[in-house]
Amino acid sequence: MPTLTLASARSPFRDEFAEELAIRPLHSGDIHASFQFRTVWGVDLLQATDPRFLRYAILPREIVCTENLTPWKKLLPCGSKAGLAVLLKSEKLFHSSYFSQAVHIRPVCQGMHCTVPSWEMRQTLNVVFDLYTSGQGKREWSMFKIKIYVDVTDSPQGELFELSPPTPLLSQAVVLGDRRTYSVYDLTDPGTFGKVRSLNLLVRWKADNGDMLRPLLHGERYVAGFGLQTGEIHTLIYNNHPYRAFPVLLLETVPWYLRLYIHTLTVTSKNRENKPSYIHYQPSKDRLRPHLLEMLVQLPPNSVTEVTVQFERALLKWTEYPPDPNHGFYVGSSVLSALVPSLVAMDTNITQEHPLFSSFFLCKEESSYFMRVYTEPLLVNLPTPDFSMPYNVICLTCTVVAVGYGSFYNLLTRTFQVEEPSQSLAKRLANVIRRWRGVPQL
Amino acid sequence: VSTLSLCFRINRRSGGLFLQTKMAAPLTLLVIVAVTIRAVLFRSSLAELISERVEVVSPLNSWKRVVEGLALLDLGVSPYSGDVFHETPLTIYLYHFVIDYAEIVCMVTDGITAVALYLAVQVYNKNVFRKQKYALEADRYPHDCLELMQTPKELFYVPLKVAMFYLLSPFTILSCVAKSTCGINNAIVALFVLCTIKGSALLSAIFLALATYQSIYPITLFAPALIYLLQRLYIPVNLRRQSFWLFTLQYAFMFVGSLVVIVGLSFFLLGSWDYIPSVYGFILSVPDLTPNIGLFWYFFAEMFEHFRLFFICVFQINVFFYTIPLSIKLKDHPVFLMFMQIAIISIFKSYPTVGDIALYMAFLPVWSHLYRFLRNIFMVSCVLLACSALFPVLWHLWIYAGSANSNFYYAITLLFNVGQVLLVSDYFYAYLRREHHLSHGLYLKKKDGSEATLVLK
Amino acid sequence: MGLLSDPNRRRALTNLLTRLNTPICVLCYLAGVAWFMGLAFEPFTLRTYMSENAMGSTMVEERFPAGERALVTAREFGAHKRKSGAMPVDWLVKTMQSRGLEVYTQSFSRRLPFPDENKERYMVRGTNVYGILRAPRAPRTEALVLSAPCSPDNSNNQAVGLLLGLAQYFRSQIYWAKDIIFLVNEHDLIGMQAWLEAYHHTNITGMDWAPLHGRGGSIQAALSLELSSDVVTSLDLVLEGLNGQLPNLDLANLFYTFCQKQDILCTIQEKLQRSDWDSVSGYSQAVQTMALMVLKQASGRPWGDHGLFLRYHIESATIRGINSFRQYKTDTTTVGRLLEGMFRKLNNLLERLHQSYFFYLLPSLSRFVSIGYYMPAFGFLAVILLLRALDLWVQLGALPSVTEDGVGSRALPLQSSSPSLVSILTPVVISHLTGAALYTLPVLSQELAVQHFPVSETEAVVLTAIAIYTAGLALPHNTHRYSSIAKQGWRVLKLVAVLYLAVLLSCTALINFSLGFILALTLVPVAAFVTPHVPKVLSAVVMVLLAPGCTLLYCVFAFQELQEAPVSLIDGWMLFLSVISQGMLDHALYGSLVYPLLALFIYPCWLILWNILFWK
Repeated sequence: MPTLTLASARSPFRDEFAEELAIRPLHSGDIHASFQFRTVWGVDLLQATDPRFLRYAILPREIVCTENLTPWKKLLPCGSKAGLAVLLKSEKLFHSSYFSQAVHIRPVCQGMHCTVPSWEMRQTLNVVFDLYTSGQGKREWSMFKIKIYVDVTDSPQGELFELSPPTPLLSQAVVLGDRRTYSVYDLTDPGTFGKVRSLNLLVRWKADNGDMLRPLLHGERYVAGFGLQTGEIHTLIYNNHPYRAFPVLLLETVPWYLRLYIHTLTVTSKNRENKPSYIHYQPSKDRLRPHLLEMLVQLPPNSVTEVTVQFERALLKWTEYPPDPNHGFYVGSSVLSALVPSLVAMDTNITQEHPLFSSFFLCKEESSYFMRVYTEPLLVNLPTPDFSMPYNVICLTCTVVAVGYGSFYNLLTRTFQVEEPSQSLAKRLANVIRRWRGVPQL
Repeated sequence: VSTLSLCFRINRRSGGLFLQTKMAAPLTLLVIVAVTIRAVLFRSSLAELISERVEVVSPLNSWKRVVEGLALLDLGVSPYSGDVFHETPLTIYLYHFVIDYAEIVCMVTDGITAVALYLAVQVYNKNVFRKQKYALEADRYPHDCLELMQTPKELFYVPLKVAMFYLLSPFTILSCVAKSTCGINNAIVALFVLCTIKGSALLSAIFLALATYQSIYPITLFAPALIYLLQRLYIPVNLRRQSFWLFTLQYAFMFVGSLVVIVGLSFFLLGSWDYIPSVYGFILSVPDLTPNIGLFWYFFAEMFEHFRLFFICVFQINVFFYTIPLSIKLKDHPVFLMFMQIAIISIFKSYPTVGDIALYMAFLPVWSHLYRFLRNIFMVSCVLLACSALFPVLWHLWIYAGSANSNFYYAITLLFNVGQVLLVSDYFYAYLRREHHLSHGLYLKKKDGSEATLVLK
Repeated sequence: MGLLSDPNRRRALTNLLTRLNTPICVLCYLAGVAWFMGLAFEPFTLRTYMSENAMGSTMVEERFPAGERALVTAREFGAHKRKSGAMPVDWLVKTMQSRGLEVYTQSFSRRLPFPDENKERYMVRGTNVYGILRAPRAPRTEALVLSAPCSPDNSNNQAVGLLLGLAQYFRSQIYWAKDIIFLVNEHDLIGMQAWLEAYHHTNITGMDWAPLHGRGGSIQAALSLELSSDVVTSLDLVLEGLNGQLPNLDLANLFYTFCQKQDILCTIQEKLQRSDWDSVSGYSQAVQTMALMVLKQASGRPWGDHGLFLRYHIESATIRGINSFRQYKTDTTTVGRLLEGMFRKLNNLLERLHQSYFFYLLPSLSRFVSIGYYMPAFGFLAVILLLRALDLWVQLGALPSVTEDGVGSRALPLQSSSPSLVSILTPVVISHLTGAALYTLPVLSQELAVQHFPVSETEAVVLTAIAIYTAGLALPHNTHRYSSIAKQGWRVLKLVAVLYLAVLLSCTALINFSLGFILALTLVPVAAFVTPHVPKVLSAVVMVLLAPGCTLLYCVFAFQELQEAPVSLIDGWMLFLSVISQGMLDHALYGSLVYPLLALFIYPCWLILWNILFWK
């Protein structure tokens, strides 16, 4: 981690840091909290690599836990000692039903002319607190203490939930193509606190939960078929936009031990075949590289598109299995990237007063926004050899080869002869005695 | 003896055309029955099931992989860039044209193989009969060996039996219904056998080159073909004779020349050499451990990495190194040597399937006169029958029910291969024994005049 | 290889085997039966133990509190079910949603080949309702299933109530690493088959199902619950699944461990555990339990909703609550705690259950017999067939008085020594055609039969099957007129039949040991001793009594006796007819293999032996 140094005298830009928390109560009674931290350095940290190369790596088996949270918190300028990061207590965070943390590093332009290179590091942490596990089923949630935005779009007059203490500050932003209204609590303003030097934000739901919200684009994936020989990967892509069709880029990397048969690839929407407009396929090489499949599929409005491809499971060498081979092998998520048409036009004027979470993905088109969706990973069982048997197998197989060799060797090197039966030991002994006695032998 | 030889002479004269017309009807009937069975199975739901069976198809000759390779070609990707497709370039172009008629092509190749074997065995039997007649007239056999002589009646039905053994064998039918490309390889080997027995050296070399090009192992058939052609031209197999070396070099040149032409043509068709590691590298280094009826897969699945290369070399050499000793022992019987070589290839190759087994089993009626000397035929047939029935059961228990593990299937593989080895060595024993009796007499007596038993010492 | 190559030793051994063939066969048969009976003897069995390390100790603290509330939910469910007549889908959806599950429904329909007694019509339609408890922060890769069937009458309400109660309790816990799917299936096995086929997107049996919208990844284990009373006196564990497949023994061990921990009486085959297994009554109970398990496994039908999971390699079992007249009663909270404990242990699994045995017989819940111990019983019976085959081979080879060595004078040099295979092809083909008729005709001709006779469709099917079976007995008298070497042809036919039977029984015993063993018990003596030279009438009667059809009849009576519910002859006969119809229905609906095996392979084999008996 390079140390933060003051910028040189040439550039007037200084390093800066911003943090904020956005809370969005959901219809189902869950709370979505999004922490955003942004650090900008006015120095050129590293040489940019060729932007044409995309390297994509995934560890499907790893699960995020406190061991990942601690070093992540240390990346913040003050660690977990000051600012919003104080709220990130592991025990509370992992009593949630969804947890995600990310680090994004990219070069940004400062000012209109892009003369000064500066690097931005954004850290985001998204948590969904579950009504049942953390709230014990009671439909209220509270959390206290910088700038806190609470999404009140769904309840502008307080009909869905009630927010206390009330605040007069309101702000609007367009997030993911949707214009949303926020109540703002500015913690830098001492007037927010009142007499007590702490802020306790309370959200109490009034009505029972309404219907679930559906995102415009989402995907699911599962393995069809049974048995350890073959299978089929089904990817379902849902387009919930009522009247617009849009293309989506599907990227799948499948490990080499699930041998894909690309001639069985079918894409169907609404029970009709939907030929992808672009397919790039790089087949796998055993033990060297995985399959790479990229397709551009046009999704009709308000439909489900199903992409299926058959595969065959390979038997690996016994040393290539992990210590728990009957758990299965993971197939990483497929990535759906799309420019989703938004229901609201977006304001491209970037000013610093917009909330951080709305300005991350900029796009030139006014009426669509970029979205990247990851499907769930898959767990696939492979046939396993018996791991306790290497010596036995080598001995037995070599025995069979030796049986063949021995039979042929006998027939090649020996010839037929008339057999003179050899006498048994008892007979020979009896003959010796008889000879000694002078009696004729047997 | 003279009356018998007179009978044989009369029979031979009346043969010829009469034989051929008499055999045409049963042969046609056989072909019709075979085609009907295959057509019925193609239309049933069993076809899909059979084409996925690992005993019938292997990564080298599965039809699904052929379709996959052609689909990759359509997508603009070289079929050899992945690890799914392992067919040779010339066959890609063949399949490209016939992909819509795959079932008919499979039935036609089976027919070609059967007819080629039929004609080859017919010519071979004629030669055998003629030699036997001359030997009888020259009084070369001991007097009590007349029972061992092959009668024209027996020899008459052998070609039909060979064709029947091939066409109606369950192994062949399964292989055909699965559309395995093993059928084409078998057809090429059968045509090679036909051309060799008919005595055409150039055609024999060309077909042998094609067979070697498809899968490397038929190169071991060079020795029996050479010996047979030498025998046919009355050139003695003597390393000191110049005529021997002249013909050997001629034949080798024809073989190597055709092989070079075919390999070069493949290079020009696809424009690159990357089919060589994908096809021949794959056959020799056995990277894919999909279970099959052979010995390689589980052995290399459980092999220590340190010894892997050593044992690959040992197992591959095992296929090739029986050629020289067998050629020396059987240098007067090249057709039996050919049968032994084909059998050894089918048993010990890296990815065997039942289609390979069907080819050498088709030859067994040619040696039906050895029946009396076979020692273990009952046990061996029981073992082979039981194992063939148990293969799908234990595969189901391992892969679908999950109750058994891979050891059960592996055990049956071992037993099956032991059965095959015993079958081949039993026929070898019977053949050598008959030759011994033909030179030393059938009823052997011990020194004291009582009945003797023969043993190998 | 001395035995194979040394002619003297071979000849000696072969002579021994042919001389002593019959005594050895009888000895082997008795040894096989005695071995089987001895399996249940306590010193020969092993104590069950938990093989999977992840499920080792029972150190979980079960805290399920809401047994009474579950019973209230059950009564509500029962009321709604009575009101709507079928499954109350909307009420279930609302209830599951209020407990915080992701709820989905699935509709299915199936056309039965013939209507059975339970469902009077051809078309069965239904809906499955299932709710998924998503494990927090987990990537939806693995799932566990708890299912309860929705039965049309007043049974299994408490199971659904307990399922919903457990769902509510489980939802507030944070330790779940796998998703839990709570499934309520309609029409028992048909609904379960529809759900499983849709989950794995396969179509094995021709079911018409709607696709599932929610999944939990690959299912690791499943438990099915059947509870029909508020209090239970014991819990019964049902393990036998489709085609005699059994779940991993660790699942039974898990159940037994938790029963002991919660102090609940647990039974298998509805027989209580006892402490004196080495006494005579203990031994007899063990034998009865084992025989019941063998009969249930041999029938090839799934004895609980769990039976269909096993085909997809998902370990599953059914827990059935039994309320009989005992003093000690267990309430719903304890049963809930048992299930909670089992699920927490299954949650801990790192790999699929594979450590313990998949092939076993249970004389009791605490003792088991593994495949290595019970297979020799079958092996002895199979050896009889191989000895007979060897004997026949030697007899066939000895006809031209050829010695074992291959050298000898031939009595008939011009005629072929072995009868051609074509002559024996006729009886084989005809027997198999009869078998094919037995398999296909009953279902196809039910319309015709109903028109001409005053019977229902089910009865028509079953009676057609019995008619074809009996008609086959009359067939074989005229098939072998043409063979010229008829004298010895029966030996070749018998050799083929004996080898065929040996291979068939071995394959059957590997897949379903019980079925193979029961068939071997009756068919092996028939195959070993039938020749044209035995007294015809007596042998015919014995053969008919040992035929596959009569074997099924004896099994039905034995099953009823062992369950301590003996039936009279008439009731037994009606039960026998219903077993036949159930077997055919199982084959059509779930892919059970017993009926095709018996019709297409075993029955033709028996017909070939019948043919040999009447060989002229």
